[in-house]
Formats: sequence, structure tokens, C-alpha cells
Amino acid sequence: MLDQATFGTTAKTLVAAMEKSREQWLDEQVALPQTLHLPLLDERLTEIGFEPAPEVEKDDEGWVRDIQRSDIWWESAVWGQDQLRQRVAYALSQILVISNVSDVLYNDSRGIANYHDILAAHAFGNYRDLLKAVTLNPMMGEYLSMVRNEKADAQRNIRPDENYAREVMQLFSIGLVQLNIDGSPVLDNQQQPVPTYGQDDIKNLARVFTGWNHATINQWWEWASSGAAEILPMKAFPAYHDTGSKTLFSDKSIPADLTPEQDIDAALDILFAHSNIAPFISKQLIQRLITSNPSPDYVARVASVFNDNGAGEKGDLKAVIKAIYLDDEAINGPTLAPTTFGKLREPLLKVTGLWRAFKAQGIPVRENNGSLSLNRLRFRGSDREMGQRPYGSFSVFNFYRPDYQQPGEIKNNDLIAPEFQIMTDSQLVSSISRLSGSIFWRDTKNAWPQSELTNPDNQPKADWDLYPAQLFLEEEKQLANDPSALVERLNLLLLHGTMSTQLRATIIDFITEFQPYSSAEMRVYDALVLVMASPEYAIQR
Amino acid sequence: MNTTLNRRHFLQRAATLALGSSSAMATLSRLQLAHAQTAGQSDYKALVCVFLFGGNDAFNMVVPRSTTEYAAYSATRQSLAVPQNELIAIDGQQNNGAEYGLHPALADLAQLYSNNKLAILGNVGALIEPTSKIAYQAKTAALPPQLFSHNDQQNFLQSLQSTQKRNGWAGRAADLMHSLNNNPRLSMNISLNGSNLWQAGADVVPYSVNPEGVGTINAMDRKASATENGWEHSRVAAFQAILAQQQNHILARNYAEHMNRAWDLSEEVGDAVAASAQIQTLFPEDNRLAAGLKMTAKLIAARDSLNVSRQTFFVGMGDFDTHGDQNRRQSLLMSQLNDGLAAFYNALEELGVADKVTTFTMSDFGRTLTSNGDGTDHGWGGHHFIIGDAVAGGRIYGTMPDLAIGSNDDMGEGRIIPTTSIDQYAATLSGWFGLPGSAYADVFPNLANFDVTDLGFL
Repeated sequence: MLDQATFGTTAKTLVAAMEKSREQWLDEQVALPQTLHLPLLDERLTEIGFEPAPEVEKDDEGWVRDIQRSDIWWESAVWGQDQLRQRVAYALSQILVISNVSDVLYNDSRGIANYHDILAAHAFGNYRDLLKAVTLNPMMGEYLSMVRNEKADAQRNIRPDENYAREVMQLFSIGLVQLNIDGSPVLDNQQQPVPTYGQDDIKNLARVFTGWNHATINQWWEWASSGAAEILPMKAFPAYHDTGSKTLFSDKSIPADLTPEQDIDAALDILFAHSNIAPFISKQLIQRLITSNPSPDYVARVASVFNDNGAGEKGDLKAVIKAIYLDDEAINGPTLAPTTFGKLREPLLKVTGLWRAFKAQGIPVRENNGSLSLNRLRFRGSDREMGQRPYGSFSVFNFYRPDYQQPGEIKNNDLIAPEFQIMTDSQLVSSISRLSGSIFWRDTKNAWPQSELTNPDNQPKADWDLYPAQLFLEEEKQLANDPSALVERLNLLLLHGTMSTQLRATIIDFITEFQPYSSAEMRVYDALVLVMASPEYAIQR
Repeated sequence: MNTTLNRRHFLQRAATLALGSSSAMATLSRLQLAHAQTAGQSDYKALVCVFLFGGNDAFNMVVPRSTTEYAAYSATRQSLAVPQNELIAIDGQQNNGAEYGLHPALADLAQLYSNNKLAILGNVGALIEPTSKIAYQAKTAALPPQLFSHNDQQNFLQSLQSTQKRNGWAGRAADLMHSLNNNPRLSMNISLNGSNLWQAGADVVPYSVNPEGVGTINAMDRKASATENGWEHSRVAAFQAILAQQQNHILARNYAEHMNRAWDLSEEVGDAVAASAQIQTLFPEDNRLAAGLKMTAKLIAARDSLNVSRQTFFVGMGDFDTHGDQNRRQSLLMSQLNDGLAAFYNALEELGVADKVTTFTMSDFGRTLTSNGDGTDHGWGGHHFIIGDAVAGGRIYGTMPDLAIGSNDDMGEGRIIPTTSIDQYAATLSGWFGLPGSAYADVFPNLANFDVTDLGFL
């Protein structure tokens, strides 16, 4: 379960988890305090000599600011205690997507850190509250252009922006087609899926989302996009709001003359009451956390908890998350569906898996002001080599679609494999290469990472976005004279004891062959690279 | 090179097809004939799809400049209109005398148009059958599913299918044509933009390489290790043994197969690119499209060592979803499009293959003519560019729409109903590429609903 519910297994968490039931473990995780990214980011920006929240942003700082934000994401994922919360927040960040690949969010690193905190804060809260927080968040406002969206003006021949109205339905709540409780599409008598909404619904909903702008301004036409404007929920400007009545799905009405906020609440209530939201969101959470191809029954069981947590509450994510992890299919999937259960491990999770299992120490960085930082976990450039970066997908459609089918055997068997969508030939080669480079000679006792600091030509620079962390491999090196004990340790830490006999034999034979000539550290590196590059580690199950 | 295996595979595929299609046998014999006639790379041809992700506002890319038509455009577009005096005039009267110009950032493409190397296809879009405004309003026309939704429209344009299980039209064409390449390892379809439906066939799985090129695996260099380093050699052998291991899990099995292919091809393609002529043409920096096109040019330069005669390339460029701040953002996008496509054309000329490579644009959809204040929303039809020496350029093909609000082309808010279908666009491109007409029914499922199957721009 640690594979499914954290950013990677460690020896310590493994021992601790073995002493308690799954439910106890989940409850303890839920109760842990949240690691907040924004205060950590502000601290760090101050440390490197930046004003954390200037009223007017300096474009030339944007890149280095975003590296700090990324460091904090990696450090929380790898070092943070609130693993379950952060893992669920990461899953939510792939459903309620914002991204600074588009220049719309350039230099909004504080806003993005705050957006992450909102996802993590609501990870065990209610989905309806999360939906409202996201809707009014200025980062989402900028990303899907709800900010400055005004009511129709016949004189200027303009009408409300449809962007947020469309995506809040298609991606964040109900999806495109009517669903059964088990996530399967409802089919009409021609066996075709039934659309959930049409263009008229989008036009009506677009009118709901009018009249919102940044919280720090007093007049609609004022410009603000930095400082507190990145953080505070957007503010209503009633004069720019369409106060007419609206109708959704032909029979759900929102009366005229509501305030902008009442309008949004009414619309979100309608979306939230839709029977699609439970299977639509539940299935995607299962796919992000457990398996690409959940059985319809599994989806239905979780969606039923989404609809009612047992106390009559709909949208209770804590109950949903617990239902996902405590389901028989999550626990016994490898036995129930041995050839299909699980998911391709996201490339990013391979890196966190390595860094957590081997207590990544990070690496100090020479800042622009000349000072040497404390250890940083820096991998802002993960998209280049691993094909994936938090808050760095190419569009609101995430890195991959939840229904992606890899051509060939996977598609021919009608299986879903979202993560294969970013598994390009180049990414396969470069990600194995990166993992290998992140293992060889990166252990703390090795001189290499230290020499990067002492050799002025080779110093980690403040604006470089990728430094493989130092790994703590002392315990593994202790086992290096006993190849089978070494491989067994890696099996427990990385494959929770599921390593095949062939994989074990291949690795043991290889390191045994070179035992007479090799150092302990080399044997550890070799064994570790081969496990992490193996098809067995490629699948989280 | 293993043509026997390749041929056998093709025959199997053709035999499967024959069960479902009487035209497949004709297709097979035609293709075999073509193969016998062409043997080798003498008739190399490539199709390069430049996909403008997000929905390009094509109505600000090709703009009417004659008085009456500009007035209608400007009245509709208001503050989003490109100023009349900034348009780059292009020759050729269209549709009752209307004259057109290009967005001011497209100077190099306007030049290619003047040199007859670039054609414009007007108001093309996703259609099942010819669709009038009346038929649209009366809901009597069969329509592609989920009009105006990004990913659904991308899927339709790339697959031309409305079914749940889909593959791409370049993929289906490649299923039939990949035996023309004497290289059974390298896919006929290469993506510079990751996975895409367009190139995925029933058999053919696209090969996808990053714009930065093909790397090798750190500490697992097969060539060096074979001669020098026994240790690394054994590590390579161990990894190969691990990848060759029987996998019962379908995802693990596919990962292993894909990893094997990627590793093999990283060497073959990497070597071929390294050994081929260096391209002198300068490509712009900080331009994602240009980076993809530059790598495409390098791969085309390596065509002889890769032993291929037919290839498709998929190159993408994002951020066209200009709901806000459109005037600033679209100008940047147009300038990147101009710079990238122009550099690519120059590189193809340098390689002497400008007549063998046809580049064309696609995009999710056009955008609304009306404004939402400072941007546009999802529309339907739009204009596209086709570039290359094989193109009968300097002309606008198709029918340009009436841009007045409420016109017969406008289904509402200035969402323009396409008058030419992607099936027609695709069939015209594929005909030049060498796909036999007998395969059209399988590859372009909606084409039979349209009178014209060759739009004449190639």
C-alpha cells in the first residue's frame, strides 16, 4: 500500500506500517498536519534575497522563483510526513489542472504554490468545497480565463468567455457523457453514448462565471496580477455580472438577480448534484492512485461512498480516499487480475521512489548572491528527461487522458493505460538514463557531489534546474558481499517483495560475476539500476 | 534489412483485411505493383503534419482585405480585428472578387505563397457529411461527436472516426503502406510530439522521438561495451535479459517491448542522424515548433541510411487556445509559426527534397468570430496551409466563408460551419503520398459523403 499511498516506500515507513492495519495507517495519515508550500516558499525566497511578494513582479526573477517552488514540491514529496495528503493532492493536480507551461502563469510561482496548498487542504475535505475554491482561485482564473470575464455587451459585440464553463464540466465535474454509477457510459438505443450537455448549457454557464477579477483591485479595469492578487480568491464586481436567469440541462434553473457568488454556488450545486460526478471523479482518483483499469464494481463501490459517506454527506473525499485504499480490489488486485491490475508507474514517481527509499539528502546550491544553500532537492527539469513535471502539463488535459489506449496489445485488449501516453521512445531512453545517472556515484560517502561544490567550474548554479540528489546507501553497501541479501532488500523497498525469481537470478548472477573485481558501492549501484529499470518496477501494483 | 519477414507480415495483414473488404485485394496488388516499380528510395515522400493545439484562430491568419469583406470581418471582430493596413496582401481573387491578406507576422509564408509553394485551404473542418446551416439547426445532419471540445475534435480530425475504438488515418494508411519501406524496425510514422492518434494504426505503432533527438542510456553503451568494457558489457547483457524475460502482466510486457524497441532504435536512428549531412539552415531558438521541425529535417536527411521511402511526421505546437489576451498571444504564435515553417522549407530545399515533402497544418477547430472581451472561444471550421514544391500553391482552395454574423456560414456567435471536410483534405494529401484510391473507403470513412475527393492542391 505504501507504493499506492505515498511517494515511495522507506525502510522506516515499511516497518511502521507493518505494525498497524491499513485503516489505522490511513487514519493516522489523515490526521497529520499539512505541509504548506507557500510559507516555505516565502521563507526560501527571502533566503535567496528576493522580496517574496512584490506588488510588481520582476520578469527576470521568474525562472529562479519557480525553481524554488519546484524544490519545495520535491522536498515535501520526498521528505514530508503527510505523504497520503500530498500524494492525493498530486492526483488532484492531474484532474483540476493548472500549468505554467503556458505563459499565462509565468512568474506566478507563489500563486501555484498556494493552489497546491488548496488542493492538499481539501484532499480530505468535501469535493464541493474544493470545486468552489478552485473556481474562485486566481491561478485557475488566469489559466482558464475566468478572471476579467464580463457579461455580454451588445455595443462592443462581446459575449461571456466560455473557457471555464466548458472545462469545469468536461474535466472537473461531470464529463462529456452520461455515466452509470460504475463509470461506464449510458448508451442510447443506437448504442451511442449520451452527451451530458450541449452548447446552450455552456453559454448559460459562461454567463454564471462573469464579473470576477483580482481581489486587490478596486476598479474592474485596473491591472493586477502579482502580490496578494496571486493568492486571494477572486473578487466579485456585480456591475460586470450577468444577472439574468440561466438554465442548465434544460430543466435546472438559476433565478435572475442573484449575486455573482450566489450564482456560482447555484451552478456548482447543480453540477455537484449531477449523478455523473461520483463515478467521474472516483474513477479518475482510482486510476491516479491504484489501477488504470478498475473493475466497474470497484468504481461503483467508491462512487457510492462519494454519493453518501454513510452519514448522508456527498463528496466527502476522506471517505472516498479510504474507500479507494480499503477496497478488496486495491488490496488483492494482483491476485484478482494478475495480468492487468496496477498502472504504469509515473516517471516522476520513479524518481521520488528512488529518493525516498535511499534517503536522498539533496545537494547544496550556490545562490546568485554567492551564499551556499542548505540541501535542496532540485528537479525542475524533470519534464525534459522524465516527460513529466508537477504543474507542467501542456494543457488543461493533463499529461495524459484517463481513457488513453496504447496502440497494439493494450488497445486490442480494450485496456486503458493513461501513463503510456507520455512514454515515448525518447522518454524511455532518457528516463532510464536519468535514473542510472541518479544512482551511480551519488552516494553520500562518495566524493563526487561534494566536489561539485569545491570545484568552481562545476558548482551547482542557482539557475540550473536539475541536480541529482545524494543517496544514503550505507545499509545496502553493508549487504554488498551477500548479493542475494542485497537484492532481497531492494525487492522489499522497491517491489514490496514481488520480485520474480528470474529478475532476482539475473541481477544476482551479474553482480556475483564481478564481485571479485568490484567495490561494494559498484555492486549496489548495479543492482539498484537494474531493479529500477526493470519492467517489474515499471508497473505499480 | 529483412524484407521477407516484412512482406510476410504485410500479406497476413492484407489477408485479414480481405475478410472485411473486397477492395483490399485490389489494394494489395496495386501496392505490390507500386513497390516493384519504386524499389528503393528514388521516390521518397513524406507528409509532415503540423498540429496547432488548442484551436488556431485561422480567421485572423487569413483575412479578407477587399473593402466590403473587410468591413464585414471588422464589424464582427471588433477589437480583435487585424488592422486592414497591416495585412500582407496575397494575390488571387476568390469567391466573387474578395481579396485576402495574411496576418502581419506571416511575411515568409506570404513569400512562399507568392512563389506558388504554399496553398491555403479555406474553411475546412470536422464533418461527417455536407452540412448546411438549415440542416445543422434542424439537427438533420450527422455530426462528429462533441463539437467544440478540444480533445474530442483532435481525436476526430486525426481518426475521422466517431466510434469508441479508433485509430488514426495516417495509421491506417501506414498499415497498408509500411511494407514499402525496407526497414521493418523503424515505424513509417514518426512523432516529434509524443503520442497521437493520427499515426496509430491497427498494426503500425508510431515511433516517437523528442525534438532534442535520440539519446543513449547512461552506463549502458552497447557499442563501446562490446569492444572495451567487459563490465558494462555484462550490465547491458543483464538488462537485455531482464527485458527479454517473459512477462505475464500486459502493461509490463508492453513496457518491455517498447523499451527494447526504443533502445534498439536509439542506436540505429541516432547513428543515421549523426552520419547524415549537417543542415546549414538556421532554425529559430526558443520555438517549440521549430525544434520539432529541425529534428524532422535531420531525420529526413537520414532517409537513405534508414532505408525508408515513405514517412509521416507529426509535429506539434501548443497554446492556440486564446480565450484571453488574444491579440498579443496570437501575434507571438503566428510569428513562431512563420519562422518555424519557413526555416523548415529552407532546410528541405537545402536537402533537395522540397518536392518530396509536403507539410500541412491541422488544428482542433477554428474559433468564434465574436469576442469574449479579449479573446475567442471554440469554433468549428478554419483555414489551413499546405506547403512544398509539390503543392500547386499561390491559390486559395475550398470556399471562403461569409464572416458577417448571422450569415449562412455562421451557426451562432461566429462559429463557422466548414464547407470542406477533413476527409477530403486528408484524401488529397494521401493521394499524393501514394495511397491507392481503393483504400480510401477504409482510411477515410466519411469521404463517400462528399462529391470531390481530390481538392487539387497537390
